[in-house]
Amino acid sequence: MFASLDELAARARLWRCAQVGARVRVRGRVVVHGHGRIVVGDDVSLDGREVPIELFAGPGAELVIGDGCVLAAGVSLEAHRKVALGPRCTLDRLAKVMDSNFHAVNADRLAPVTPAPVLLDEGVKVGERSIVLPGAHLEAGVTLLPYTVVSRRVRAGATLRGCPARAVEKVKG
Amino acid sequence: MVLDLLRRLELPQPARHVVSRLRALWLFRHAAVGRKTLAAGHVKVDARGALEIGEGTYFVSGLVPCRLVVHPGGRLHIGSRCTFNYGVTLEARREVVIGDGCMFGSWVHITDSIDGSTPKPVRLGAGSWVAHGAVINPGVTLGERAVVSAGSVVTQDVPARMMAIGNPARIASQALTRTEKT
Repeated sequence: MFASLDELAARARLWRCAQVGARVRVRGRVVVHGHGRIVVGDDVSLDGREVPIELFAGPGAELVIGDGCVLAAGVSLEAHRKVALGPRCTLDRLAKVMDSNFHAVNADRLAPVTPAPVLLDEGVKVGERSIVLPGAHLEAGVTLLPYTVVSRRVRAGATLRGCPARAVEKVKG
Repeated sequence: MVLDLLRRLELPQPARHVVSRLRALWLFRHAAVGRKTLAAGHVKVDARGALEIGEGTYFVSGLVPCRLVVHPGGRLHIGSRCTFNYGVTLEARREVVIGDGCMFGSWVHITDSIDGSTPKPVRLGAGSWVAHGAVINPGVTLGERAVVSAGSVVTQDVPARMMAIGNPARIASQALTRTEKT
């Protein structure tokens, strides 16, 4: 039924997720919370040994982790409406993806805010301690260098760095 | 694994409140702490100087504990009704003063001295909000209700009701105009 004991253990740790694909690998601690729907694809690798990994989906929200994604220690994904990671995305240590600002900047800070979905397309690489903010859409093959902060649409293949994020180079052709 | 299961044990709200209050009383037993301060998760407290925490301040639980470090002769003052997300580090060699009703995102780092250099006091005005992963350098003063955006590194003062963005942080040109409730 299961490929290995490892996979069985991984599934036990992800029991709160709505759907877990085949050959999922979990190391260390993964904190799954919220009442939303969390979908983990095939061949996903979660390594929470150094710092736990956080997966959160609020009520009515959806968090999708595509096939073959690799999440390093301390990665935190928070969905209040929708966060979708495409296939083969890599998130380095302490990277953060969130689709809500939690508090209004210009109004009552305790009033509810509208989330903006975050999409990461195929093969996106998110560097260490990078932050992907509400409304970001990283197209296929985008690379965020470490400590990048991005909240907009980024064209396929671009490499970004810094806060606020700027392009480092453009892919030719 | 057992610890993992214990952590996942979800208690009803009133019980969690009591546990948080008891945890706060225990963790801040060497500090001057106000009433109704809650610690929903662990907080690493290393108070060899003066640590003051106001009334109704709240430490949420999360992936990693918050860290409050006060060196001998230092003073760390946290106002009333502040909220701390997980992984916040506050370090005071001389003086760090946090005003009332401040909000801190996860992984915020505030210190008044980097690598043992001469400490310069850090002050955060009442109602300021420091978002996820921001760093506030020694000597910085944040005005009342100032906002520091996620991932920023603040090296200069931020006036009241202004927003600091970037690394190094620049002050956004527009003031946060609307008046709000605190």
